[in-house]
Amino acid sequence: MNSDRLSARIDWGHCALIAIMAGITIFYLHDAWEASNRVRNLILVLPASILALAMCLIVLYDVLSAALRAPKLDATSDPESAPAPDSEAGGAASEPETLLQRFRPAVLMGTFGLYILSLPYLGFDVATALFMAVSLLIDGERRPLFVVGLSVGFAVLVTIAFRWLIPYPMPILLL
Amino acid sequence: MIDLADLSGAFALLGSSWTPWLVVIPGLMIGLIFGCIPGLQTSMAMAVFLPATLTMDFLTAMLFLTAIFTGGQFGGGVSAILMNIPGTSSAVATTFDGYPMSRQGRHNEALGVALIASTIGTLTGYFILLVLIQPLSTIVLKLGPTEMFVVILWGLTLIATLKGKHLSRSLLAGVFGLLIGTIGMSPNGVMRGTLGSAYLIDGIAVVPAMIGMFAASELFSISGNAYLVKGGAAGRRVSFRRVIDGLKLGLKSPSTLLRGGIIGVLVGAVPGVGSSVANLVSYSEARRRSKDPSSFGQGNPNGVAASESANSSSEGGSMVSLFALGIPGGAGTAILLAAFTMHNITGGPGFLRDQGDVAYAVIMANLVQGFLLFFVGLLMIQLLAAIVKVPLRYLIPGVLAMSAFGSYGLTGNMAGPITLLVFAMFGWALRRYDYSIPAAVIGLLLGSMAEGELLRSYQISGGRIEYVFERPITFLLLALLILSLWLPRLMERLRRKAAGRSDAAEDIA
Repeated sequence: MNSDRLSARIDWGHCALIAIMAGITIFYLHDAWEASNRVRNLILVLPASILALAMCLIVLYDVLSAALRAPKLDATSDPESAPAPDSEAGGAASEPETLLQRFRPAVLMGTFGLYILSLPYLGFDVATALFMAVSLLIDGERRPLFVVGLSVGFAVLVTIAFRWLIPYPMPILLL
Repeated sequence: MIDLADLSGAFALLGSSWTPWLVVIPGLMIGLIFGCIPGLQTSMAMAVFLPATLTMDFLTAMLFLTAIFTGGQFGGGVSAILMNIPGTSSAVATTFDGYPMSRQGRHNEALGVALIASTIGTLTGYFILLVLIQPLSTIVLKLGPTEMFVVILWGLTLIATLKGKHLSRSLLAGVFGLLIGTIGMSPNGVMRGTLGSAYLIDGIAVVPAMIGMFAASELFSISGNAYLVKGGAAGRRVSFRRVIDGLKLGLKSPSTLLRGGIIGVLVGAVPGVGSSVANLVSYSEARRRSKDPSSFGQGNPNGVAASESANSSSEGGSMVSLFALGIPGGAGTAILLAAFTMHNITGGPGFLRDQGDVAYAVIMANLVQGFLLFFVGLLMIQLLAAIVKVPLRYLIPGVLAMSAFGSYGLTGNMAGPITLLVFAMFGWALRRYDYSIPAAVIGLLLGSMAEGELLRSYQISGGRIEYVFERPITFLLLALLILSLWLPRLMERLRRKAAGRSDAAEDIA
C-alpha cells in the first residue's frame, strides 16, 4: 500500500526526461568511443559525458527523495519543495479547466509537429495556411471568413517574403 | 596610437560628399527589421543586400553594410525582449531579463534600456577601435587556441551562475547541451553521433535549436494566455514616455554600460568566438557584481543593459581582425570581407597601411551610426513594440510558422525545421521540470567551439599543462577568470565580516 502511494508520488515524467538524457549521453559516448578511442576524439566528450551521467544520478536522487519526503511536506503544506505535478503547464491550477485547456500545450505541440513533418509534401505555402487555420480553430476562433482570410493571407505573404530572402529553393505547392 | 594623417584623410573623405551618408538610415532600418524577425539573421540581410553594393563606391558600401550590422545587433535584442527569440547568437543574454520584463508589462522600459545600451555599446566599441586598432591588432595576431579556450570557458562559467532553483539541474542542462553541441564531424575529422544522417555531419543547427528551446517551447507554455503581457490593456500600451524612462533607467548604471562596452570590444576581437561569448561574459560580470544577483533572470534592467552594450560593442571588436588581419571573426564580418573583395581591396596589414584613411572613415562613420541608431531605434520601437498588442491566439501560430521558415532559410534543407521541432519539445520538457534553458543553450552554442580550441591547445602543447605558463595572455586571461569567479565571494565574505563586527560593536555599546 505504502509503495503504491510512493509510486504515485514519483514524478515519472521527470524520470523519463532524465532517462532520455542519460540514454542519449551513453549512446553518444559509445558511438564516439567506437569511432575512435584516442584522446583527440574524446578530449571533451568523455569528461563531459561522465559529468552529465553523474548529474543525471544526482537529479534522479533529488526526484526520488522529494517523492519520499512528500507526505511530511503535505502535512506541513510546504508548496515550495513538493514535487507538484506541473499544473502550470496546463494553465492556472486554481481555475477549473477544460480538457482542452489542460492539454493545450500538447495539442499545440502535436499540431506544430504535424506542420513541420508535412512541409516537404504540402509545401510551405499550403502547410502554413493549414497550420494557421487549425491553430485558430483549436483556439476557439469560429468566424470562417476570418480564419480563411488570416491563414491564407499570412501564408501567402510570408512565403513570398521568405522566397525572396532565402537563397535556397523552398518546397512550395501552389505559389 | 591614432595616425593623425589618416584621420584627417578620413574627415576629408567623409565630408567630401553626402552620398555615403544617404545609405546609413535605410541600412539601419533593414538591419533592425531583419534582426527582429525570428530566424532571419543580420548576416543574411547583409548577404541579401551585398549585390546592391556593387554599384556603390567602397566607402558607401562599407557604410551601408555596417549600418545593417549595427541595426541588426539592436534588432536581435528587440525580438529577444518581446518574443524570447534571440535574433542572433549574440543576443542570448538579452532574453534572460528582457523577456521577463516584457511579461511583466515593462516592455517599453526594456526596449529603452536596450536602445541606450546598444547606442553606448556601439559608440564605446568603435571609439576603442579608433584609438586602439594598432595595438589590438598586434594582440589578436598573438591569440592562439589556449587563449580562445579560456575565453570560451569564461562564457561557460555562466552556466553555473544561472543556477535558478536547482544547481544540479542547470549543470545537467548545460553539460548535456555541451555534449550535443559536439555531435557531428569532430575537429579531428571523426564522425560521431550522427546516426548515419547526412544532416548531422555539420552538427546540430544551433540557431534553429536555440529558437526551438527559447521561443517555441515558451510559446507552447503560454498558449493558454490571452496576451503576451499579463494584466489589462494598460500594461500592453506602447508608451513613448516609458521608453524614455527605460533610457533613463539604462543611464542610471553607466558602469554596467561602459563595462559591457569594454568587454564587448575586447572579447569581440577574438576571431570566431567573440560576439557569441561577449554578451554572456558581460551579463555574468554584471550579475556577479550586483548587490542582488538573485534578481537577475527575473527582469533586472541591468541584465539587458549588460548584454546589449556588449553585443553592440563586439561589432567594433570584430572589425579588428577584419581590418588588421583580413580575417573574418564571424558571419557578419565575412560578408564585409566579401565586400572588400568585390571592390578589389585586400584586408590585412596592407589595408591599414595603404588605406588607413578609409579604415578610419569607416570607424568614424560607425560612431555617427551609433547616434543615428538611437533616433531610428526610438522611432521604430513604437512600431515594433505593438507586437504585445497582438492576441496570443494569432501571435503564437504566426511566430511558430515564421520560425519554421527562418530555420529552413538557415540550413537550406529540412534539417532546420526538424531541429526546431525537436528542440522545441526538448525545451518544453526542460521548462516543465525547472531546468535552466539558457544553460542548455550556452552549452550547445559553445560546445563545438570549446572542443575545437581544446583539441588544438592539446595538439600544440603536446598535452603539457605547463604550456599555459609559457603563454602570458592565456595566463593573464585565466587569472582574470579565476579572479572574477572568486572576487565577489571574497568581497561578500569581507562585507559580512565587517557587518558582523559592526553588529558586535553595537551590542557592546
